[in-house]
Amino acid sequence: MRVAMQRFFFAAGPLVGGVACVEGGPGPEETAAAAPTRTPTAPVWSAEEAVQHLDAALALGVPEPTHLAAAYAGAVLQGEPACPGLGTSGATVPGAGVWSAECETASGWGYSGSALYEDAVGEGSRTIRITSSFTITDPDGGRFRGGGEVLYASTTDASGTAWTGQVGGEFGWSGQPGWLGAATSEALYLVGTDAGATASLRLDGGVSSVDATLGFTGLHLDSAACAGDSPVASPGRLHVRDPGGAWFVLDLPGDCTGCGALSQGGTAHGEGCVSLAAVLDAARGDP
Amino acid sequence: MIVVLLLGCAEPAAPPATPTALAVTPLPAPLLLRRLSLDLRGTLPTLAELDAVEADPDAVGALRDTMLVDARLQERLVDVLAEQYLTRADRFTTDAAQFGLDEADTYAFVASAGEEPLRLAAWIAASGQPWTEVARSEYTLANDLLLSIWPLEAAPEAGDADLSGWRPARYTDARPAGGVVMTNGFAWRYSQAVYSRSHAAAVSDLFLCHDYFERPVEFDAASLLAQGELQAATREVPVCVSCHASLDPLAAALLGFYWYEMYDPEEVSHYHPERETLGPYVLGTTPAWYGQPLPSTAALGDALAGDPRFVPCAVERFATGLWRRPVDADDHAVLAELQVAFEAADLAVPALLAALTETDEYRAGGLAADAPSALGDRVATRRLLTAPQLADVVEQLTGFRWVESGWDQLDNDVIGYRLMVGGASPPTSNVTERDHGLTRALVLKRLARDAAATVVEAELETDAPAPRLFTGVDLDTTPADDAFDAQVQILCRQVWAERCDEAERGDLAALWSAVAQADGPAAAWASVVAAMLRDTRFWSY
Repeated sequence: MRVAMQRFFFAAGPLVGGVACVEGGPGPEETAAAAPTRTPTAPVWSAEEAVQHLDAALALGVPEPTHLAAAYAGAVLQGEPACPGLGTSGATVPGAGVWSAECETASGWGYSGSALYEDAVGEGSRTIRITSSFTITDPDGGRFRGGGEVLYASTTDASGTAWTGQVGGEFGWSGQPGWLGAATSEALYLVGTDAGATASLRLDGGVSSVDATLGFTGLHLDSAACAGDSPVASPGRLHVRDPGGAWFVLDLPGDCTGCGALSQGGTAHGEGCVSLAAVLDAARGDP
Repeated sequence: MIVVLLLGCAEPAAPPATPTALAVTPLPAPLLLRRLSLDLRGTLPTLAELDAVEADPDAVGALRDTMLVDARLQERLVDVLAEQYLTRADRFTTDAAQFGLDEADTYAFVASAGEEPLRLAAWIAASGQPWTEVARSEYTLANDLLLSIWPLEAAPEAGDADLSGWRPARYTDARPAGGVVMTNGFAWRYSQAVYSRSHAAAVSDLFLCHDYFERPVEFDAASLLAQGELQAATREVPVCVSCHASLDPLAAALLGFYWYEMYDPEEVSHYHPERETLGPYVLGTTPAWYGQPLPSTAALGDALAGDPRFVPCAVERFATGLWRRPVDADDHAVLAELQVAFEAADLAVPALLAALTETDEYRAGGLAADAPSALGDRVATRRLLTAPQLADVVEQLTGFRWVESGWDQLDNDVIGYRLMVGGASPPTSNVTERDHGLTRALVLKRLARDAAATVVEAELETDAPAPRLFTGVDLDTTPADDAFDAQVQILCRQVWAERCDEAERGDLAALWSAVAQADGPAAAWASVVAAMLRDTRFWSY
């Protein structure tokens, strides 16, 4: 028993009183925490600047799986039979298949790396998967980076389309308009519906672009429940990160507006408003 | 046990007990000098240094102080820390070719990635910066290879290159300052488990000496797996909560290193700031430091450096490195004194190293006659040369470095023998052996043979301008000459830091004569050197 005690005691750091005195949380041996000496991280941006950056970034929309898949298919179809040598066995959607290459076509498209693109369209359903590590260069000097995984699954009936999706990794194509041209890294989880006249979208995760890094926690837009450009239908959060790594948080109460309480590091900074119209466009997928 | 721990919290911290003297005998001054030199410079003492301490044993202290400001200390600390950080892995999820490097750069790529966090920590330690910088520094260290493949820029304002060409640099991918924790090398080693939990556990273990894997929890893995909702179990099943309640919020602060495609070179080389907000979605929690909310990952370094366990853990880590054994409860009083010295020096590691080398534990050369029998199991009165020490010292003595196809044979297990010679081979083997064994003897045999042949060829069969070992003989010298006996004594001192007595010199001369008769004087000298390198007095210290 003595040996066992010593072992645990040291694992927990007995020289300063033991982890039980330091940790918080609901662990059974954890008690009140001793506050670490900590220097507050001062934000680089003012609250106004944070809202401006957030609004500008949201105006580009957010990465969405079907749009990304369409862009990818368009790029890979610029290739030649031997470059990148797309293997399309069993694929029914143009651009679907697998390749691994290091080549350039006569028309100036370059393919480096590898990718698998599956796109299964059934009766009332569609599933997409892109697993990739590629760089495609276009003749205009644009660089299409794809390192990660894109997932999408939808069902469609008379009421519309319901879908879930994920964009995780580094996806972006410099020189393209909108989010595709700006985004550099994503970790987005999306749930959407598209009923024609109305649409909804729930967003979690984040996206980095050349100008801003955004985060979403339970952001829920629903044009059936709310009118207006920013139909925030239930409480959620938007985050924007300044160059020093400080996060500003906009708490949206779900009152059918893009306005909410702004804070940084637990300090309130009044109210901020943003437009979410372009974000909701993601719910409708690739036109 | 829980009751005891909780009661412990209610009591004020007891003052440190006065350390009691260990029942050990100290090393003789020349052997202490050898130990210090190997630990602090990675080299054997020179003959002039041995002369100095033979004349005045107290000269060891001044020589130790020069070692603590020697540029080689930084190189040596890389190896000391490597035994604990375990970042020198032979393989990562991406390879050199994916970064556009030549196949010939494969070893350099692997070694560089694994050494990055070690180089940073060693730089902070050797340069006397407060050790808290290991958790807070805005810099890393990089060599030319890493500067060419990772999002890094050199930071010449922070300092010059070290002896191996590593120099201060900073990341350009928006990652927060955070010292070792925020380096790619550390993340590559520890970020592959689910949602950065492994990364968080490593931070806790290495910098707080709080090892989640050592917690005394018991659970039935099969029944948890059968539930199918492991993520929910981490928040609901008490035995799971006991670790995940604090581990997961720490992991949430490290999600900027989470990868969606572990085989994509850019995805794994870049920090992803947008993933810092993923905690609620993938872990069900927001970033926090043991119950204290973290406003951002940028605050993590300060939280770590300010944790009351951080400084005592640093003392434990460096004590483990120089004492060459894990510390335990019986070390409490000595460690407490070391902590006082460390804090008095504003957490400058050289001061801690100086204090450590003054301890009975460090200077132990044998057990006292009245030593309890259990002491022999705890105290390392002799230490094995580690794989990197062995490689460096053999090269110092003979000029031989065991390299095959660009791979250092004592620094990898792809086409090398690091594990066989007793080194850790992470992630499959994380333990540096502290006892001699058969595989180690086999590697030493081969190493000694090739090293001895190399130095004999270079210094006796050709004219070396500055011989390392053979300063007083040539191939015509025989045991009948006075120079022969003098050369053997020089070898004894250089290789073992000991003077050989007449009988031992006679044994070596007899070995020389027997081999010379069969294979000539070059083979004879090679046999003598090889025998000395295989002797315990060379490969332990």
